[in-house]
Amino acid sequence: MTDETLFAEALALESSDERAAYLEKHALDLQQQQRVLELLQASEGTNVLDQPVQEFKAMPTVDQDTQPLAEVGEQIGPYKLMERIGEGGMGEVWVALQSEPVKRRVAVKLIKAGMDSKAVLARFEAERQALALMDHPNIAKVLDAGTTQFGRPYFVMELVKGVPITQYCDERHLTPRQRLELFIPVCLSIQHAHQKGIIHRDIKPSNVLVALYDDHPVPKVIDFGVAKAAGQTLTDKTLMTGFGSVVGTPEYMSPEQASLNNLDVDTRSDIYSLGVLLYELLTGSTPLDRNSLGKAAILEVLRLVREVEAPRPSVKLSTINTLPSIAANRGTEPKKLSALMKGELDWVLLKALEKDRARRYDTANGLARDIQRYLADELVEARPPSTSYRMKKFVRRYKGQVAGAGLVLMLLLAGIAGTSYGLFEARRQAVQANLERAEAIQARREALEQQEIARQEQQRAEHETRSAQAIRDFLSNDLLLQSSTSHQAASRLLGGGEFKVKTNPTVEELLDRAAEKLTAENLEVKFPGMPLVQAEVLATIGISYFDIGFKAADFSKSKAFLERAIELFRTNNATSTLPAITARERLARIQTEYDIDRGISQLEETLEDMKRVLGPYHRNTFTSRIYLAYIYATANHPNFQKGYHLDIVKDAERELGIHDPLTILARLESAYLLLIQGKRNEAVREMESLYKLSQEINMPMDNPDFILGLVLLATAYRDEGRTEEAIAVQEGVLSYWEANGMAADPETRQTRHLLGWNYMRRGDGEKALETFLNNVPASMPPYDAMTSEAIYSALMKLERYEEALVQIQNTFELWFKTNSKEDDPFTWGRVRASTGHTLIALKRYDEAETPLLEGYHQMVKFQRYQPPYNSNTIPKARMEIYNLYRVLNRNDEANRWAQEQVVPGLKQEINKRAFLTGRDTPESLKAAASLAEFYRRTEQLADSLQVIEATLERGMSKGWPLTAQSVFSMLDKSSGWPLAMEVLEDVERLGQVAHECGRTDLAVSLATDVQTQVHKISDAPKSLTAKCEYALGYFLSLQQLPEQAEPHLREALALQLEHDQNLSAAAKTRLQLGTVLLKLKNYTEAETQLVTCYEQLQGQDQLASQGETSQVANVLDRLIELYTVTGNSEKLEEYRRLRADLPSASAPAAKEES
Amino acid sequence: MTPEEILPVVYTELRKLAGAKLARERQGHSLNATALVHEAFLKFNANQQFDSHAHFFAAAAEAMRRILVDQARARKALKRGGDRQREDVALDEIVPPTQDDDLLAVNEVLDQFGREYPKHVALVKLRYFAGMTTDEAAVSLEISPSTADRRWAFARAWLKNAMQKLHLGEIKDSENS
Repeated sequence: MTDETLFAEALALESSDERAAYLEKHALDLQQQQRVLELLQASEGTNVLDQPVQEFKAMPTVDQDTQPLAEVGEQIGPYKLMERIGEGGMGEVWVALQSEPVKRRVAVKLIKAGMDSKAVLARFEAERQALALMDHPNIAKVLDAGTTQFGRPYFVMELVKGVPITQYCDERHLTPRQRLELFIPVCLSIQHAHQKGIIHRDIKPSNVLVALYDDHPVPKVIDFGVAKAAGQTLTDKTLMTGFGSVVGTPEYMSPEQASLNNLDVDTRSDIYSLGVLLYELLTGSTPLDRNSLGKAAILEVLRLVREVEAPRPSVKLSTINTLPSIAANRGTEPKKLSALMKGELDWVLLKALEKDRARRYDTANGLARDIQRYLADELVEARPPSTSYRMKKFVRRYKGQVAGAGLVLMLLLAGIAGTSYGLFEARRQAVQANLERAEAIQARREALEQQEIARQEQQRAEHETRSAQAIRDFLSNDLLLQSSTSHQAASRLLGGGEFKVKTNPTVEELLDRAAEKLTAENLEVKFPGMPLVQAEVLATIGISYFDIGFKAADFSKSKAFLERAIELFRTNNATSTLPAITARERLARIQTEYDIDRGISQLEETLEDMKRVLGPYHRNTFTSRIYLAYIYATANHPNFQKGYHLDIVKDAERELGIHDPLTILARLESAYLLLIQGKRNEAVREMESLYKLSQEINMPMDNPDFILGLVLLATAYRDEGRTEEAIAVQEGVLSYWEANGMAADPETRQTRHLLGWNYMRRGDGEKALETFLNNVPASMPPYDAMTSEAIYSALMKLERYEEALVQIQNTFELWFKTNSKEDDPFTWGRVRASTGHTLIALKRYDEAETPLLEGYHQMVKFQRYQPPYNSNTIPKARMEIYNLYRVLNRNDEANRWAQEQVVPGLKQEINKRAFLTGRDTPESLKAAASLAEFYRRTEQLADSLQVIEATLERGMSKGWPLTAQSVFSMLDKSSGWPLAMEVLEDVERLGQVAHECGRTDLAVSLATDVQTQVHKISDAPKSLTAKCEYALGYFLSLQQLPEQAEPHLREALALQLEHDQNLSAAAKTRLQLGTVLLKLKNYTEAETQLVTCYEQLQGQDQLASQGETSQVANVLDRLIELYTVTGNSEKLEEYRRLRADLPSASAPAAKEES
Repeated sequence: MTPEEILPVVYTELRKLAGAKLARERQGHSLNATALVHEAFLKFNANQQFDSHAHFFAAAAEAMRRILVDQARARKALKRGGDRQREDVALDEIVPPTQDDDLLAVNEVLDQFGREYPKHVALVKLRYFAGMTTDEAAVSLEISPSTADRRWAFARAWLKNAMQKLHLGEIKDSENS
């Protein structure tokens, strides 16, 4: 072992004694033992390396050599360079003298080396026509483009002698109003370009210059067409080749520009960048701080751009410490500046900066118009975030997290697995439906929370004095009594039948009836001289209105009563009494709907009062804190970022206990907020712990938030390969929903769909089919196609191919009943390929070729529409086409296909997996195994071995530093055992290939590696240990080392029999063990094992698939060998006959790539 | 570009960037090393194609080390002179001496470590000189976080041990003399 390995192993041990003992046992010699011991000692205590050099100060020597790209006087085409006036990320800008056809001064932008100049020019030429059409006083014309003699691209532009707009505004101390006025023509020029079909793509201060013409500042937008010509979109490829060029400046990039493979950037991207520019002009900084961006790694930067919501400009200003200088630059005072931003300007900016471009201003003109409205004191079009809007935003962020992680989101992605990306409209509707649903759920959640308060208040009321008694009387006589039908009937009789008997009046109706009676005069009559009681009654009605409704309409009623109540409390100097505080708290909540900042400060105020009056850990105090946490999150308040919600959980656990409903509510809220913060993993783990807790204490599932959390948890389980746990959770959720009349609701159907696929994963086709069929009756078109395709998959799994063929044709019709191939290109390819796949299963090879090829090429062509969960469809079709050519004996075509499609595809897959998931991951291992297998199949043994050796980290010259060991060391940290089983299977696959390539030693190495790792994991499931013992024994046996193989196989068999009763696995082990014993000449036991194996295989013959048939043949061959050696002619004869009766192994069916 | 070709370019670029930044900023303003490296990457990589992301960061880490070591040496020299010649050195010109000493000590043993463990050394540079976290460095060097953790645990122990030995050697020398 190397020093490093020894060190790492010893370090993992607890005590120094254990470490010393370990070293003594494993070190090569005393020197090594001593060296590593020293290292272990050195790893303790403080270490200067733990304080990295974070910052450094003045440079003693600064290299001023900037190596300009060109020299003064240099001639480039008809342009003579005069003076270098700027330098940027892309290159340099020079003033140049044009000699012909006209003599004038122009700006020449030289692009730095490294860009593909041909491509740059080609892209420029493509847009030249459109650029020429632009004619606007605020746009600097792009005149020409070409390459220098050194092949460096350049652009020639109208010369603008100006400074960046931000600099201009700051230098002149322009007021916000002047800045807005200056910004309007910028918007209009962008609008002009958009109308000509030009998107700028790189709007930032240095591209918006302000020049003085006749002492008037004129903004000029420069560099139109340059970003597109010079740029590339972020793609997998650019990232893989070292990230390529990230075009654009992250601070000004729109979220869609910051996403991978997004070819779909439109004019609204410029609107976003305009928003950033305006934000900076007004507040002095961009929404995403340069500082915070600068520290993050590139992928992180892009993620931040995509996901982090812009802080409200007014909030940003009030938290920034350079506010005085920013204000001074704007000729105003700090307070005035942030007050100015609050309200409409906030809204305008947030609308321009919407992450979802559909919510931005449609056009640059729209933005300009709103600014004009603001300047003219008219109402702006942008609206403050209202409740329902906030809810959507809340959900949308939630979506961002989940979908970003490649998951299928139950709340929003209505279509989920199988839904194609082309069905935009259908999905939009489904999303809408789900949003409404989410709002309803939110309302239910609120109501639950409120019930808790109501319950508390009622309890307390019992101990209260006369006033409370009076209120209760009022409530019972005038309010609650009306809900009883007898009372209603009685009043009808008494009142001459005017009252309609309503068996089940809603709470709202009851409140309305009570409210009618609460005029000031009536109150005085009912509670004479008891103003506090009157106030309390009013407060109760106001609070109840708030608590029952989440619709804005109810707030106005609630608000009116609360305001009346608070006014009464105030005039009687009772604002700090509990009922007054409660009323104020609800009013503050309502306030957050209209002005979130004021609402927050009011909530904070009442919370302080509550803490004082009720104590910091009173239940009402907790409820209020939980609400505040939610509002902090919606406002993206600094306290949210600081983890306000986590403190609540801590306090609740300590003060109320972990089983208290409020504690659980606080934890649920916290899980959601973690999710919003992008801490998905933490949120999932929190949900998992809540789930376990709920099972322990038999908690009913009736909290909608809890159920949504469970759905999320199930998805996470699935992604971690913990299929059984996912199934358990989903079954629970489903039965709850089904029992509560939600059997046909969209989220129920989605969960059912996901459950079906989990059954598929478990190998349970019957159950999957049944589950999918339960989703059939509904009539929403995209669901039908999706369900139909799922049913098809289940039928394939059950090998009911004839029915599957009908089903896939049906699926095709369903998908394309209303859509055309162009609407939904990827799905078209996938379903077409599935048809081919089914025909192959039916051995109708000739018919299969066309649909397979068509489907494959279509999918490849429209790969960008590929949903993440469909990642296997292209490789599968690719491999099948190869298999098809082989089966049809069209070998030349097969070889060409292998060379042109299969191998490059598999290699690309390895790179992609490595990039997306890391190199040391199960996914990467699987991809490597597939390549190795394919090389082996096509007899390219050397290449195959190279992959395997790379996997062992031996022959990696430029290979993949992927080791079974590292994969396992990663696994035990986080993921579940099923994934470990998969890894093991991939290792077995690799080992098998190595063996077939004649390098059984490599297979043994692989298996040994894995076995060592698995043995280290103390709580590894026995089935895993058994499987890896078997693998090692099997390869040792192939390596002709029967003595070494025997103990491993025995261990495997014992584990299989003892722990998981896995008879088919045991049969496999018996076969190997028998073979080994045969070699060791232990004939008696060999016979026992082989005969038992044969009997077991016979017992399962109804399941006999290809693999088992050949196993039967194999075991019979061993028995024949055995009886030949032992000379038992009777038995020999018997088994020879059985062997001859076996159906001759048919040509191996086209083997699928897994 | 090969890693060897990258280094001088990145070195120049980083110095230029740092120089330009410091010239713009107020006197005594400090720079964040990680931010600088990332900025260099963004700026630089818009125009250059590397074989791999990792090559760039390995080179940047070495460049950062050289810059910081030069600085630390220069400051030490300045400080020695300053102590004798004038008392009124502006406070913000002096970096806490321990950091400089530590930095130079790490620098001292780093090359030997690099010879024995070439795969590990870029990680140490990124973590120590460029201020990245182990995870960030892992991403930059395109290795798995677990590998990075393992290597870092080993490297920090190895380097500390080596520094201690160097230090002990000095004491022994002075005892002998």
